[in-house]
This record gives sequence, C-alpha cells and structure tokens, in this order.
Amino acid sequence: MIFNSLEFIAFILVTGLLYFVLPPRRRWVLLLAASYVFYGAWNVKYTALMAVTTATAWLCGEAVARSGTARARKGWVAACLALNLGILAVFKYHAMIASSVTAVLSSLGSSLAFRPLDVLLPVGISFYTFQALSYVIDVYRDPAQRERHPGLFALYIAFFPQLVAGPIERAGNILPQLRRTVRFDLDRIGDGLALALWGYFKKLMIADRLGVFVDQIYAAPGSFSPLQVSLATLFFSFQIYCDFSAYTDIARGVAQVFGIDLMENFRTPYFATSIRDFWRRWHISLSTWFRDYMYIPLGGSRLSPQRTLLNVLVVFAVCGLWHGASWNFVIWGTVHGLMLCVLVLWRRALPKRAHGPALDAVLDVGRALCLFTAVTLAWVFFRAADLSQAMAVFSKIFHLVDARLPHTGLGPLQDMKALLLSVPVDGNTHGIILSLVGIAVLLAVDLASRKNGFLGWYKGLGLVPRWGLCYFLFFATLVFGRLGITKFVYFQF
Amino acid sequence: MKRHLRTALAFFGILLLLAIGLRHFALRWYPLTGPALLAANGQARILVVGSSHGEELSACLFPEPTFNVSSAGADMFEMCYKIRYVTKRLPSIANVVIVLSPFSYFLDHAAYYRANFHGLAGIRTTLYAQYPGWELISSDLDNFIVGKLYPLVTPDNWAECLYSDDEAPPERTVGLDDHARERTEEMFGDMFKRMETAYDGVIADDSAALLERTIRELRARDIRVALLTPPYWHRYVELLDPAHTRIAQRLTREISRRTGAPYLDYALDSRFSFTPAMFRDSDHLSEAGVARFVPLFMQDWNAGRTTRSEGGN
Repeated sequence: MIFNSLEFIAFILVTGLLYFVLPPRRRWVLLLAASYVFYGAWNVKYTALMAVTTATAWLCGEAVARSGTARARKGWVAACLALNLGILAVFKYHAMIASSVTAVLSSLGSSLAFRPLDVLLPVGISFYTFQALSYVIDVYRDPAQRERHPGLFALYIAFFPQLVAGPIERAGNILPQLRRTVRFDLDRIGDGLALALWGYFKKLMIADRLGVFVDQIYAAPGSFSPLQVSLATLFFSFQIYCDFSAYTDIARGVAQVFGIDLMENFRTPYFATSIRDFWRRWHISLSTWFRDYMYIPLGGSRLSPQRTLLNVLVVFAVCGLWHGASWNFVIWGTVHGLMLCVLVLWRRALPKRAHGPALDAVLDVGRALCLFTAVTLAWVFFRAADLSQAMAVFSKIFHLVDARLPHTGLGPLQDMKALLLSVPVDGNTHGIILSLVGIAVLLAVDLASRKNGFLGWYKGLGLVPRWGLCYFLFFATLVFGRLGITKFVYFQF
Repeated sequence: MKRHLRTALAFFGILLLLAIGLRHFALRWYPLTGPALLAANGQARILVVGSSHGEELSACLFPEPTFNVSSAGADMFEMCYKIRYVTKRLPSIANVVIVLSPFSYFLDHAAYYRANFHGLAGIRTTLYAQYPGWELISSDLDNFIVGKLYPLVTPDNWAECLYSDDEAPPERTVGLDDHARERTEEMFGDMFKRMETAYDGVIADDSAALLERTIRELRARDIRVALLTPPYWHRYVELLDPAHTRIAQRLTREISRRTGAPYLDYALDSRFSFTPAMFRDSDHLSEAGVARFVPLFMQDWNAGRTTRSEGGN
C-alpha cells in the first residue's frame, strides 16, 4: 500500500475514525495493528522480519539496561548490531557482495562464482533497522531511555506513516508522544492534511511527471542529445527532492492526524550555500543519525585534521552504501564526502569573512548555484543503473559545449520549448511544461517557507490565503497530477 | 466543537462548489462523448468491438448501420464492458462482432496500472468517461473512481488541451517488416510476462470466462455474435509466441463451441489477398484491405461458415 493510492486514503479514513473512537489507552494497539496491516499489504511474510528486528532490539535494550558491567552492555549492543546489520546485509547487500567477491576471485584467476540469494529486498528495511539500532545505542548511552512497554516499542519501530521511507525517528522523540493522550483537534488535523496535500502535489504534479522524462532519457542516454541528457539530470535533481520530501510531508501530515509530530527531514536543501549546509537540510534524520552514531564515535573532528577528513569520507561512503547495494551509491556518497573535505580545507585556508549584507546575499546566491550544480552532477551516480551508464551520461553532459538548441526559426524561447517537447511524456509532449510550472510553485513556496518550514509558513497565513492554497493544491493535483500509482524513489532503500 | 464543524462544512462546501464549477468549465474542453455516441448510433444494427484490429473495420462497409466501439489496445475486460454498456442502451443492436487480437486474452490495463507501467492508465479513464455506467470492471476500483472524476481528471491530465493540435509530433510512419519485428518482439515479449505477473490470477482464464458470460448474455437476448480474427501479414504471425497463440486459439474454439458463436479466423486465410497494398503495417489492414476483407467476412458470417486459419495453429 503506497501513499498515492486510493487504498491508502481509505485506510487512513478508517484508521483515523477508529483511533478517535477508541479509548486513549487502547489506541496504540490500533496503530500497531494498522502499521502491520500497512506493511503486510506489501508482503505479509516480511512482517515477520520486522517483528524479529523489533524483538531483538527491545530485548537487547532490556539486557543493556539491566547489565551490571560496561563490558556486558557493550556485548549486548555489539550482538544487536551484528544481528540486525547481518539481516540487512543478507537481504539488501547479498547481490552486491556476491558479484563483488566473484569479480575479485575472477580477477585472481579463480572460476568460483557466488550466486545472489533469491530473496526480495524488504521495503523500508534500512529505515526501520537504523531506527532500532539507534534505540539500543541510546539505551547504552543512557539506560533511562529504555522503553519497558514492548507494544509501544513495537509501534515506535513500525509506525506506518514513517515506516518505509522515514524520517528515521529517535525513540526519545516518538515514545513520549505515544504515551500522550491525543484529543480530536480539527486545527491540528487540518494542518496535517494541508502538509500531506503539499506532499501529494510535489509527488504527483512534479516528481512523477519529471520521472517519465528522466526515465526515458536515462534508459538510453546514448540515443539523446547532450542538451536532453543534461536537462534530464537537472530534472532528476527536482524529481528526487520532490519525491522524497513529498513522502516525508505526507508521513508528517498523516502522523499529525494521530497527534504525533515527526521530525523535519528536509529544509529547502537547494537553497543551501555549502555542502555542509546542504546536509543540514537534506534527509536530516539520516545525516544526524550518521553524525550521532558513526561520525562522533569515530572521533568526529576532535582528532587530527587528517583523521577528521578520513572520518568524513568513511561516513559519507557508508551513507552512500546505505542508499543502495551498488558501487554507484558508494561513489555518490564519496563524492559528497570529498566535497565536504574540500570545504573543510578551504575554510581552514580562507576563513569565512563578512562583506556586508548586500554582497553576502549576492555571494550566497552564487554559492547556492555552484552547490546546486555540483549536487546535480553527483546525482548522476545516484540515478544511473550502473557505472557504465553514469559514464555514458557524463560523456553526454560534457559534450554540452557542442550542443545546439533545436532551430525552429521562431526565436530562443520557441527553440527551448522544442527541446522540452522533444521527449514525449506518456505519449503527450506537453506534460513536461506542467512540471516546470510545478517547479516554479515549489521554489516559490520553498522561498517563502525557508525560515519556518512549510507548516510554520502555512499557519502564519490568513484564512483566505490558507484555504486558497489548499484549493489550489487540491485541484492542481487532481487536474494536472499523474494519478497513476508510481512508487516513491526511496522505497528501494 | 461547533465552530470547528462550521469551519469544516464551509471549507468542504466551497470545495464542492469549486469542483462543480470547474467540472462545468472543463466540459467545454472535454465534452462527455458517451451519450453523443449513443445518440448518433441509435439505429445501429451491428456492434463491432475490439482493439485497433477492430478499429480499422470501417462501419460504412458493413451492410447494415454499424457502431464501432473498438479502441487501440483494448483488453477483454474493456471490450466486454463496452458490449454490456452499449447493448443495454441500444435495443436496435442485433449483431455483435468481437474482434480478437493476439493479446486479447492476456492483457489487463488495470494490472498494467498497478504494475507501474506508464501510458495505458488513461485508456480506462477514457472508457469510464465515454461509457459512464455505474458498473465497474472487476478489481478496477481505482480507475473507476478516477473515471468518475472526469473531466476534472482526464486521460492526459489536461496536458494536450492547453495546446493546439498542430504542435503535436507527427505520428511515426511504420514500416512493414523491419519495424514489425521490433514492435512485435517488444509487445509480445516483455508484455505477456508483465501481464501475467501483474494480474492477480490466471488472466487468460478470467478473460475467457468473462467473454463467454458476455456472449451468453447476448445470446439470451437473441443477439447474433461472431468471434473474428482479421488477416495479419505473415511475418507478424510468425513473430507471435506459439504458446500464447495456442492458448488463445484453444480458448476461442471452446467458447465458440459452448456458446454457438461462430469463430472466423482470417489470420492467414488464403482467400484474402496477402499483398503489401492490403496492409497499413504488419497487423493492420489498409483501406483497400478493409474494403476487401469486410465483405468476405460478412459473406462467411451470413452463410454460417466457420473459417480456419491455415497458419500453424
């Protein structure tokens, strides 16, 4: 069951209704059952895997909290990490491990070949595994964080709005909220639904429309012109942002209906002025997870400058690997790590200076554009099916200098339009222009909400603009959105 | 609480008014064609239903007023839906010609839709909009609801109506043999696999059961039915997967035997002139081909003759 399906809307209506009918003490049972139904709608068998992760994390948490010695506590944490990361390795990375080992053996002259296992990648496994691990590590650091109620803990892991694509929540944020009595508050529900509506607009009007264009070009980059391939790469930047942030917005909006505040996962990332700033705005729950549970334990920036740079690179390479079992993702993460290393060295050599508000604003725009270009180019590794395809895309992009716009003889605007319309989207040529309108709306809203987030900005509007925005988003999504069921990109992680 | 209720009512009231207004406005660009089609064909005696292979059979070549509701890529579920819808509303229909394509038993656009295949979902929206009944194709609730939102939701999401037709790209011309291979391999290779894995059940059996039930309903109302396969260029037939062809042939013959509806298979019938002039592309007849084929078919049907393809079926 995915968010952009009618089944999900019916599911939310029924669950929401039952939630407020039930006495508050029993509501967690409903949410837990609904979460397992939600996950089981994809594959019933794999709910057992989630239950195993939940049970092991909770039991290890208990063992850690009760252990008398530091060594025993460490042992339990290590056992939990080994087990859950082992499950993740088997279900997510087996194919990559098998093919890499086979390639290494083959290069050494061995004919041994490892076959990948015949198992499906469980949806959301990276998200709920990381959530479970963070709980055990938190209990190790502070036993007071232990959750004695296994049912509430299971709900923390399985809470359906954020189960399959995050945000990767911390127990300290969610568990106290699950204990709270939630009242029926139409204002809160209305705000949540508005946030979800904004998510649907981004997903159906922008991401899915751009996705068809991008998919066609990335399927055979060699068949398209440098301009078309560059355009597809640019569009992918917006597609991935809209797709993933849409999921988060819908998740946060739906969670608000049930009185749960999920953490903000995106904060206008393409307005970032440095790569560090970008990772403070992009997939915040993942970047803070890696900061707290990997970068800092590795020594963070407290050790030598060389060690700090190495830590950054290692963390980003692992972050890339988290996204997918392919060397493409590792390279993508490493590229981001290298950009951060360059920034660190740059800042050491040339500390940031203030130039006055006007010049700083101009410089910030320039920095944001440079960063956006770098991030967009890095997305090629993320989107390409494999390294050879990524190279094919880059070779096209770097031939851009030879590229020419189609010549219509009607002026540059018409030439640009001809370029946009040269790739049919769903059999019609004009859908891409609708997504450009969508991107303009996205940038305008991001600009307006860059300080307080969408909800903060939305709540600050008067009644008429607020309702007007809702009507606009509703009808724009209904009339212009691609209502086909297209999965969210981050489901694969 | 009362204030909240009033606010919610006001919000949804305005939403409803806007929706009604927008729908009224939208009908200017996307008029409901179903009722108009029925009115224009009120005296039709023959109903032709099929995919693009039925679409090409020009209504004016039939000896009696004919209503052709075929549409490119139509699957069996859509064909049966149209038959039920039209014959219930047009009592003048006395003959139904069901044109079977090689994929008719194996295609389900709803399954395509769920399997995340782009580009065909609009067909169902068009279907429900053109033939706006309150019955839906089994397991197709999603598309049915979307179809009911027409013309707020359109098959192309308004993308085309905002621009003039002359900006649309010219249709690619299709060669006969070289393109046929590519097109057919693509169509019948991955497509059948995708369909069979996407469909929740055995699609060929469900399609056949639905067709048989529909024919029985028609026969109970004294409507004459013929099952028909039009001529194809020989390369096209050779490229079809023999296993799928065998299944389709077997199912059609069984339905024909059980219902008494004749099956006329002209796929490689030697009485038709298989010259390039008769074909628009590998599996579609040219105007000359249709003009030659329709009288041949009508003659056989009226004579109560059942043809048998000479291809290796």
